[in-house]
Amino acid sequence: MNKRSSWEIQKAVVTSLFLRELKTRFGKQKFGYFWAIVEPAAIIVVFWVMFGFSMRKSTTGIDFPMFLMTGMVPFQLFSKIVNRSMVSFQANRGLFNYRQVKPIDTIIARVLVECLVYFIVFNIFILIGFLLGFNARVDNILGLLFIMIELIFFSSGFGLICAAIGHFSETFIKVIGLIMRPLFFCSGIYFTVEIVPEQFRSLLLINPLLHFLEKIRSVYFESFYSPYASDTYILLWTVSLTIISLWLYTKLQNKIIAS
Amino acid sequence: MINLKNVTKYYKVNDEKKYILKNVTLTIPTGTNLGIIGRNGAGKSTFLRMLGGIDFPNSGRIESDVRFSWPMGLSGGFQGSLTGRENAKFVCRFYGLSKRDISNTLNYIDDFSELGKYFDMPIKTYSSGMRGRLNFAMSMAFEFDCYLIDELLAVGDKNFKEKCAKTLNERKKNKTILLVNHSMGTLKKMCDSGVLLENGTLSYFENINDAIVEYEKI
Repeated sequence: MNKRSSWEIQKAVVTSLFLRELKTRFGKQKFGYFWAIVEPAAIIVVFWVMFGFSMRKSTTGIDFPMFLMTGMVPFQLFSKIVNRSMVSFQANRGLFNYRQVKPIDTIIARVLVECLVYFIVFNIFILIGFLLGFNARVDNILGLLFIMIELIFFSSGFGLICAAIGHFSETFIKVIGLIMRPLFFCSGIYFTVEIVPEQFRSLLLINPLLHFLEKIRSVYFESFYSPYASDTYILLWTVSLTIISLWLYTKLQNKIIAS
Repeated sequence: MINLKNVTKYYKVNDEKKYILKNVTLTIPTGTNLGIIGRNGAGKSTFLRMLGGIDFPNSGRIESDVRFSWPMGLSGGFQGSLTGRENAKFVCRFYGLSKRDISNTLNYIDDFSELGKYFDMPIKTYSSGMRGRLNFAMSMAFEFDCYLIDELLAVGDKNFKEKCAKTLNERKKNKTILLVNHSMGTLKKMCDSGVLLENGTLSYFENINDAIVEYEKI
């Protein structure tokens, strides 16, 4: 065994953790892949049936199932990244006995797994959209890629902060769990900012996820224009969460390993 | 060589600092088998963990040119739903072994642990003895300069224990061990030199017997 640089070690650790996560999550009996598709699909179908008839193409210029899908998948990606990261230190605690394994590596591996899963899920849904005869074409692929990368950093940053604080406080994890639930209803998965009564708009627009979803739809569909999604607001959240999370993590890393 | 530079390590117990090391500067020669002696709660295991890079001083630095093992006997973060082989392979991977080395190492572990078909079954089906055997086999499968051993020198039934002892003694011919143990007999048998940990100070003795004599005075 030769001396390796810390970068090489981290690469080896993250790769091996990534493979381990894949095996654990998507082992034979677990139907992991199956659920990753069925869960958002079921929600899409339910909302489609519930709102599909009242909400016509004309309001957004987008086929309603596609509208739901472009909200559901990014939201699921966010929520899975946060939920998986949040408990990552706890779940992998025994691995910190190996000095090579740093707590953040376990989060990076989990985030990568979720990215892979939802990349595939997104593509499958786009394909299904085409097959069902909807307008499923991505109008601005680069734009979509960029905003999705921002979303991944935003989610990971948030997840890392929750993991670092949550490691020392069970209550914190529970509180975050409570916050995550209403987020489902106010992030614009099944509505646009446009249809929200004016007096509530500015309040709802505090939620960065609402900006993300509006922005994602506006790059996905040329016909959808959102004057409400702010690039600056999205970037500000993404950059601040990333920096704060890394700063907090470096402060707490040794404590997390030793605890 | 292990260099401690102004190392301070304490735990907070009821807002009171309990010192394990208090501003210790010391050079401990390596290349011999080292026993760590001290009373319960003196911080022997913590010291071992600091050498293993999984605990950290509150201030000061510990430097070493020695490749330490992970502290043996600490349950190795096994993933219950994966097989023994998969868990072992995972450790091989992040230690950066090549494909061929991984296969050799896995064969060694398979052979040493005597798990038989259990090696390819999920860890959650293992008894604690089987886990211990896998754990020990994994520690022995990697070549380290120095093996960090906290109490646990052998696992399993009588035969397996003998095998552990034999392997460890063989390994000691060209590698070293660093042993935390409460039995003075074991320490005398296994170690050449000693480190005494007491009241936040650390003293090195070239001969383990001197360390034991000193320890028995307190």
